[in-house]
Amino acid sequence: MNDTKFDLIVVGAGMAGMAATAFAVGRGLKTLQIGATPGEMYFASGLLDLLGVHPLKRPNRLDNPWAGIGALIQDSPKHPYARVGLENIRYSWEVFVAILNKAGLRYCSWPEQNAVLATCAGTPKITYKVPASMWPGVIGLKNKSPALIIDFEGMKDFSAVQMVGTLSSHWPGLRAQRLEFPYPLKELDCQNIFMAEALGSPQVRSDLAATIIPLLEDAELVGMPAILGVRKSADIAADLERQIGAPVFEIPTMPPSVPGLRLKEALERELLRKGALLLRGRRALAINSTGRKWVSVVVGAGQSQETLKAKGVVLATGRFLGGGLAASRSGIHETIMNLPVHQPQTRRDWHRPSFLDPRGHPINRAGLEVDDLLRPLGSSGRCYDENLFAAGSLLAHQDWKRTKCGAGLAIATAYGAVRSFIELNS
Amino acid sequence: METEVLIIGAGVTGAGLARDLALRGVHCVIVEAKDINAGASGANNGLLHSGARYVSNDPVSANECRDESRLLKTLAPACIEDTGGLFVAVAGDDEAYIADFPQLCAQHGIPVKKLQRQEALELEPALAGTLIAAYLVEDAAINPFRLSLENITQAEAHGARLMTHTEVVSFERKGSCIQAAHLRQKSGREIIIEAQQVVNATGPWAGTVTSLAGLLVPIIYSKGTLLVTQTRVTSSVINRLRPPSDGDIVSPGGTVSLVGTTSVGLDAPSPCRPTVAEVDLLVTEAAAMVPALADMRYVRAFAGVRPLLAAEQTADGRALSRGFVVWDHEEEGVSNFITVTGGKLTTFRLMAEKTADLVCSRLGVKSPCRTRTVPLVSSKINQWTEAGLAARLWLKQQNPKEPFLCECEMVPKTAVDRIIDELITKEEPLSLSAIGLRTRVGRGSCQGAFCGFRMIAHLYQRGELESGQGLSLLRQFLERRWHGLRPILWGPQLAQEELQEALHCGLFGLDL
Repeated sequence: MNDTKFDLIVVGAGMAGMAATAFAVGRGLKTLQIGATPGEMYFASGLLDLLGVHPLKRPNRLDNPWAGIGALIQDSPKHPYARVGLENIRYSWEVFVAILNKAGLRYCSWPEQNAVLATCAGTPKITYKVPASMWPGVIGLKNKSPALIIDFEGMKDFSAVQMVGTLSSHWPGLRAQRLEFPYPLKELDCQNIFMAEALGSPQVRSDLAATIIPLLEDAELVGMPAILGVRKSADIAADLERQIGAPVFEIPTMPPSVPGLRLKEALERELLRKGALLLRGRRALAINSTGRKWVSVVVGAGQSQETLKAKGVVLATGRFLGGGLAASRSGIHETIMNLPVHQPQTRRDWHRPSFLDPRGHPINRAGLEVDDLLRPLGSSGRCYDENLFAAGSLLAHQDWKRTKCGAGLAIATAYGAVRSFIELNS
Repeated sequence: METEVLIIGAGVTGAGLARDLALRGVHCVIVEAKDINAGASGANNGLLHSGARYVSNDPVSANECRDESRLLKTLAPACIEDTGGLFVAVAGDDEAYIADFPQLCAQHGIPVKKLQRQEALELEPALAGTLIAAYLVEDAAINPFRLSLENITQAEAHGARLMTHTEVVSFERKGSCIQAAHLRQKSGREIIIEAQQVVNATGPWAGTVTSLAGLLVPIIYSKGTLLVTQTRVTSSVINRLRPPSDGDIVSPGGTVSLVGTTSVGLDAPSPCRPTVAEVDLLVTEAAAMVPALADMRYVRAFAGVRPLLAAEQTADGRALSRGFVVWDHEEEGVSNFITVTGGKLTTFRLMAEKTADLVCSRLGVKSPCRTRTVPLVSSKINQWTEAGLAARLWLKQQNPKEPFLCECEMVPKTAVDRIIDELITKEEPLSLSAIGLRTRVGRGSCQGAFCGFRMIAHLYQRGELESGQGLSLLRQFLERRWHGLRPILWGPQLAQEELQEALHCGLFGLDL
């Protein structure tokens, strides 16, 4: 691979890295994606948030995320959404949802409206695009239809009783039932992943359906933790619904998340099919400009290192959990190139006295400053390299956890970065 | 409700007093505004002092610590890890103080052994290379939660009664006597307790309680901040060989180390929260003795208030005696009211004894103190407060069917269930903090991000919670843990926090 020269190298295999790679191969670019761990997507709930809350101060839940983005761009000109622009954000979503669809992951949404669905904590979650496997739950909550929520013996991070109890004021017609999972599970950890694998078997599905049917009573639909298969989950859900005779919906869970794994597998299949090269278990150790034309990326795992060349690089390394940013007692730095990081003046100002303060913590808005083409700024205040771009949560001036825009930020900025690269290099 | 003695405050002093009285056949009720060890008893470095720390400036405390630590090692071994301790000096420390130290210890009868530099480094490889002097002393680690719980358990076995989340609102006076205390419980329920004697063992809140009886007790509030490391860095207690100051003790707490302390004056006993500046000071100072502490992962900081009493006030409270007072309020016109405050964890038993002596003389009870000879029974229900125990039991039993509710601390479901049953039997309010205090759930590196949610799910599953109760318990728990997390968020613990926020705010929307 040493001699291969790529158009674009995408560093990072979370949502932003996946989206950037997808956009790049979609435009015919010779693309390599580097992922450090196998687990980036295990944290993804499967939901695609666009913008749920703006402004944070009040805080205001948005019915229409697009109108919210319009207001956000007005209010916060440095927000990455403002750099990408409303039209590009819309376009990026169309393209990305089409890619997911092609990869076998169907998404549903209201036209121009956020959806609300129930999480496993029993809280109403505001989001935009919802996996088809979770959509009946959105409708059920909206219509307050009588429903049965099931979970399984031995599950630690999911309790139907908790969900039903907590939701009782929002969705009174719920009932909870704990079942024995119809297949022996050897492991106590990551049970949802093993359950999802087991439901790939028609026998396990029939056994499960047979257990559920007598419990239905007045229930018009059945909710369960998101375990309806890693692959072919649409078929698995359809088969289960047919046997039960009622719509079935998945409920997002704590990580490791089956829908996250589903996204990872489907996207990777699709990316490979389109000719992307996916390098896994490697970290980008250094990124160097080599004159005007090439950027080199040194990647390594353990002792072995190699240098790869590309015309452009998209940095989508995430924040502290992803490893794109790191913090010491004295400050926050970017981990590969030590790019300047916009951050609060001192550590005292990183976090607010209350964890759940709806305004979010000032450190959440720390990150890389970029120009309008999403190129990180160097210490001079000008772009660090003509062909180095940044996407996703690594960017400054956003708080995706509080404004509920994680996937949107990843998709829009990934698109923006790839688009900028193409513009500059055509 | 009637009792012979009403004890206000379920810190280690109140707990010790309850046991002392119970062993003398005196009936008592302990009321506590929050929960066991909610004040200074639960926010210290868990150090059983040999007395060496006080030889230069507080001879009374030095002698008391010397005697009490020896006694407790024989009577309460389940609460103590007899780690031994070192006093170490590094380049730049005061040579005169170092030279005087062994002599001062000898004067107080405190055993001390000089170690060669190489010996000390072999004993504690984490010590700094700049080490210039080291002395071996008989310090040990003591688990203050288990200590209070065991004292209360034994007191209860002899008829005492504990009521947590029960706050004194007012005293009803009749002549020079407090006839009854009016209390309010967390549930809003109001109760009246009539007692012959009332003991105020509320530590830094002593003045607040005496003011309800119209009495003034001048307390000086000295805030001490400590840090908890993710892994244990030394096997023994490491003290800096210099006059007591900031960041000069690193003590083992089972699987972790505690780094302390600071001493900052406060105007009131609460709120008392650790700050970024204090954390930085502790890390810098302690790293001079144990360099690895500069890059260590910390999982939490906490702060407690030392209740100090002194005739003359000093700026930081360091120079004040750590001795205790048993304050008989008879002279001020309240004949059945006693305040016990000041003191240290190490001397809790002695404080209880002296207080109980006064109480018993008032009650006409002749039986002598028995806590000098009767061992502190260790009961199974209290064992889960011990860091690392759950993991050791799991390794021994290897029961693959036993799920953990808290993975960081490997706390099994059965242990949590026993504690919940106990809390319910005693009609104590269920909260994640109450369970955490008795099991270590939420004390590991995730600091409740996963186990907090899991505990709530478990409580619903058991039928203990309904409707939206779980959400408010979870929010409370997260906010409580936050006070200790906020000042130590850098490195991997910040990444952990990011995940917690992604889950609790991004997905669950607990911020909305």
